Amino acid sequence: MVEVNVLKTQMCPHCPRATAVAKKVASELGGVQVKETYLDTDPAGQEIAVKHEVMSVPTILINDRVAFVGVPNESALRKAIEEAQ
Amino acid sequence: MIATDVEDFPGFPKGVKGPELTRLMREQVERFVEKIADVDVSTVDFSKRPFKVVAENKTYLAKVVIVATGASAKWLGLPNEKRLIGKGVSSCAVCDGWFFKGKHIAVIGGGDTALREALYLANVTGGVTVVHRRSELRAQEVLQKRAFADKRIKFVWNATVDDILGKDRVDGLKLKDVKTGKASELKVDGVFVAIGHTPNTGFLPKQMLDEKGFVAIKGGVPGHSSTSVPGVFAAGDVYDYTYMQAVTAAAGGCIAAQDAHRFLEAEKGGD
Repeated sequence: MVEVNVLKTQMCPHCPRATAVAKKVASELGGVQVKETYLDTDPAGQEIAVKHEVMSVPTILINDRVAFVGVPNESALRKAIEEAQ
Repeated sequence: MIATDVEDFPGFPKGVKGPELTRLMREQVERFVEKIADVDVSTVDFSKRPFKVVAENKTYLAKVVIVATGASAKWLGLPNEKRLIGKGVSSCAVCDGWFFKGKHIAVIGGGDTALREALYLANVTGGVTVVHRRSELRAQEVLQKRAFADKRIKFVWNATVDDILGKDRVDGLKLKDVKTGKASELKVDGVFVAIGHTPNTGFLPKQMLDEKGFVAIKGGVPGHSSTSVPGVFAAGDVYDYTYMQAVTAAAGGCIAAQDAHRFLEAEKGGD
């Protein structure tokens, strides 16, 4: 199971799109779990931000490694997930 | 929509956050449309009908098209700017401001967006320096007054950014005084670029665009939103570089929808 974690903040206007792309690709591929973490309000999120030195959202982690900063397009995300599978 | 506080949208007497307004609009749209595809359009073929819109390896066919792809933040175009995006370089204060709690940051620009970003960031960071290439701001007066009254916001006038400094993350800016040519360094932990917008029209045929790259529209009533291609309409910042307000873009959407509807009705009548 590949874990895709969409890191976001409450006010970020681009972040819902990143989640939508991740969920769509996950449903097409199978074997992918999509999580969302708010870095600004979730205490665990703040730890993740420090650990990965995140300074911009959306950031997408695949299996706990930074894979994308910004909203990826579907094909790029699909390729990155397939490589992690 | 990246704007922080939208103060002038009808129906929100206390103002509304830009992302919240977008979320509400999407929720409203979902009541009326069958499907929203969150995809990036790569190319279009408007040479014959049905029109073709290609997005992420899928082709969508349409009798009419409304282009409302808006405009994106312009970047300075410096090599180190690209390298440091996500490492202290940003163009979205509401997205990334939180990461600069207690840190000193710079905002580049002198228009409405720059001051909105500076005013928002003054609340969430340790201090803001606005760097502007002229000796006065282009922003509307109300924003200027608020920014000048805010002790957390400083200004560097007549300066351009020659380079963004930092190995793994931003640690400063190299500035140049446009009058004296003198170079200086400004120590900052982050930089927000707010120097204007470029229309998102890269996927459109050149002949549909004006000299600035915005969609050229015919104007007039009705048919205000018509482009040079019959059956293709435009709404919002993708053609409007004058008003660029949430409320004018929303009105543009309504106008384009009505123009598209009229166009289809007229075609039916002509059968």
